[in-house]
Amino acid sequence: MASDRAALDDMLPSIYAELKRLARAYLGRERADHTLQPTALVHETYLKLVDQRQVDWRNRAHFLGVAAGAMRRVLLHYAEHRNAQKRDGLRQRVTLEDALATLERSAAVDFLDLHAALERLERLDERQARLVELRVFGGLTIEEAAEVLDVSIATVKRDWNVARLWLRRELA
Amino acid sequence: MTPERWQQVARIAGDALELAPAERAAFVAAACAGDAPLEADVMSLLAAEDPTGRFLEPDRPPDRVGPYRIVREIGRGGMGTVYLAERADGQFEQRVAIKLVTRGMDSEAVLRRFFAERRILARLEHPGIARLFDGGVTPDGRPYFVMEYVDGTSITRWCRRQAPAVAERVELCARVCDAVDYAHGHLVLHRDLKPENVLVDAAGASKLLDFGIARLLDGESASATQAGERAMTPQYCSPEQMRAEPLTTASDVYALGLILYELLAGAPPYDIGGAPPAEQMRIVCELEPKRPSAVAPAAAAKRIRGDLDTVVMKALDKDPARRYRRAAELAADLRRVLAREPIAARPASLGYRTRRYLSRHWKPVAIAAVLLAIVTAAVGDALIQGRRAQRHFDEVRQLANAFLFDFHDAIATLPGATPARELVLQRAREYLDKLSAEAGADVDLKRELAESYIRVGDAQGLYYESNLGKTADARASYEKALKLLEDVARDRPGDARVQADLANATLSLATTYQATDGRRAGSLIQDAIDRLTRLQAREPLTAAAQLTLGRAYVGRAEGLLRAGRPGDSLAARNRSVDAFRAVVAANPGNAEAQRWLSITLKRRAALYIGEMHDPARARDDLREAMAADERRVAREPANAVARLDLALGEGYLSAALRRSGDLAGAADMLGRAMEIRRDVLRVDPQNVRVRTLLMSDYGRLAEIALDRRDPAAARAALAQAEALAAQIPPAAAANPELVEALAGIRRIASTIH
Repeated sequence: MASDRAALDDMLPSIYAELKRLARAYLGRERADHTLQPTALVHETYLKLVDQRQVDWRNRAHFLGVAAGAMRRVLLHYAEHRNAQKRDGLRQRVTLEDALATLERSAAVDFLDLHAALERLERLDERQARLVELRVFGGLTIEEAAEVLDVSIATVKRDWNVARLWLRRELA
Repeated sequence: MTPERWQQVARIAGDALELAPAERAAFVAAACAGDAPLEADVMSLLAAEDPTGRFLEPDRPPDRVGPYRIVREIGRGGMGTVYLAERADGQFEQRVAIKLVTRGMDSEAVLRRFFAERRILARLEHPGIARLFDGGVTPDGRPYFVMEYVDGTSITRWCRRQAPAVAERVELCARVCDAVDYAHGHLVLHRDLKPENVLVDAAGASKLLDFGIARLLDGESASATQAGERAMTPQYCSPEQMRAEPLTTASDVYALGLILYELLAGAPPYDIGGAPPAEQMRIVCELEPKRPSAVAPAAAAKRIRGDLDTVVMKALDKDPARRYRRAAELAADLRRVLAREPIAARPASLGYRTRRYLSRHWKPVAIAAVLLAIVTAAVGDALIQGRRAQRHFDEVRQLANAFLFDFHDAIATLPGATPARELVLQRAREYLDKLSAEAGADVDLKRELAESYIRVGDAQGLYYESNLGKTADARASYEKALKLLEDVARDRPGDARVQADLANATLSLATTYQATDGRRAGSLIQDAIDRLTRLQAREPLTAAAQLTLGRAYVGRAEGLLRAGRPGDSLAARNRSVDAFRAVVAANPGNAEAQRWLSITLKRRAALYIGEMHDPARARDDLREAMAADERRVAREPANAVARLDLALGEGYLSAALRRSGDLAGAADMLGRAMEIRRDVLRVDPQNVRVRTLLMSDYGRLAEIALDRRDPAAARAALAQAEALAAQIPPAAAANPELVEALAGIRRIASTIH
């Protein structure tokens, strides 16, 4: 199992590349007023990079876990550069900006606020912060998150509920 | 805060979350044991709970939908998400597009409309239209549609990439018009035509997506919501769509005009993306767009100036009545431009433009202008009638079809009468009547008209069931259809199809009498049976005619049962079973016949149980019916209707088993039916019919318990039934089936005490 995870980490560069490529392909397809969801992208990356008939759901969970972290960092990059681009007058209507906007709209939060709050939570309880990352950026189910974090489903449910209370109070 | 302190807070808050909200404060106070800051911290955390529970919850694409495995997302809009999918069972290498409806839409209404329209939509078979294969509902209650997957790019993007000549663009657009007109001929409007819904593949062939889907998704809300909130893309809305008025073929023509404009000019006539709703409304309804040649690049502008400008501007007229009435007329003019022939469209006259200007700014003038237009049209009508009878005739015919359209659409979208709709209905009938008067010896036209009358009658009868006045209207329409068909039959005595059509129309007429005049209904049904029997003696019946015969026997069986003649009813029931069996034997794939057969077998079983006291025969029928139902459920696991059909059989079988003394078997079988109904109710709690059935199920469970001398279990079952009844919305409380079911339960309850 440990070597599996190392292998997954080795895939990180291709995960980044695929996330960005997919985001571009989305815009290229120019379908009906699409909104790009980060979780959908992560899932699609997985479908693209791994033949899902060959792996069981546990491996899928670990893959999605790695991709969730990648997704968060990619979005952070875009969020940090978003304002600079606007100032430069660059109308760069591309790639993951849409995904960022979709996430912010559906969760009703500012990404940078969420990111900062998660970093604070990380200092209080690393596992809870990682759980939120898995759920929000990777779209992992409770069961998948339990597999990745190697704790019981009941614990994940409890962590998830308490962490959301904390975040909602922080972001209010 | 320190991590240690947070662990403490999180532990108490986590425990508190598992309690009911009212119990939390006391629990937290006890758990904090006097540590006031700790208690305050936990309570402020609990106060941050999201009442919807949706905060940060991920919305991930499903892995499977029905029997399909999701490959990837290919699009997303306000109504739902589109996925590329393939058969999960590996039976076929078929790739499809699946549109999964957004969570939170009125799923029940979407599904109801889908099942009402699926046959019409499935009949749209045109190379330029992506097929709709199927639909269903996911376990969590979201409806989905399975459609042909088209690998292409939007028409505007394709033109930007390929940079075809103006003539090629015009021809491409004409082909799109052909496809739209084909659908219009099948009484289906698109309602959401835009470049993203017109894909062009690598070979340069165009295909329209989502035909008829907009209405399934939008439905009733169309009139109730503000134009700005509607699901349609405002950029491609017609003025009437913006004003939430009824849509017609001319509305689709407008959208085609917008696409054509963009292909020719290289840009849309206006860009309203960021404008506030009021401004969008003004732009779409009032702003006169520039001619495409004024916007197009110089090289193309030369070719566009003149006729193409005129054609585009006619398609984009703010007034639907001044546009091309049909997509085929637009296509014809486009092809005339290509052939350098004179086009039918005329540039708008100065007088017209003046009137339009005044009408926008001065209401009395607007009214006068409309009156003038009506008078002029009437006078013009008379003139044309005298001079060019044939031409006039064709026009009236087209108008009638267009009106039928309006009617059909409006009626299906908005249950409940409005004066406007009745007016349209009346107009449709007037035109049909006018046409009938002029039909003369045109046999094919009479046939077409009869079909139209039956369609009108179906709508009147189906949608206004409770309204006696409308039943009479439906009756009148069926009678007109009959009269026309009788004319045709006189002209063509040997024509088998017209005999079958006559029987079908007679049967429809019979249904209008069923509630009020059983004798008349019975004699009409007999007429239909006699006619088909005579036909059958001459030549073998087609599948459609066999189905009609079977349905006629079903009608007779129901009538005889109501008249208290179960023995004769059984004889008629046997005939209907024979007829449906014959169709199924000859066409095993005929789903409609299979469904009729299975329903009829179940009804016959009910007769065996309730009247003949012959549970053994009932069991045989039910087993046959249920075997077919089970095959259907296996084929379409997400189809709620199929599952409910199966539950109906299981319920009947349970009754048969109880009659034959097998109480354990009866309870078991009833349990299976209840499981399906509970499932459906969970997804669709508003469904009063299923709720009623489930209530009756509990009543029957109580009866079985009483047979087994277990009054405690009976009481428990009856309590469940009452609990279900308590959740019924007051609006549905008067539903007769519900009242009857409730009375049945109370009756059983009274035998226990």
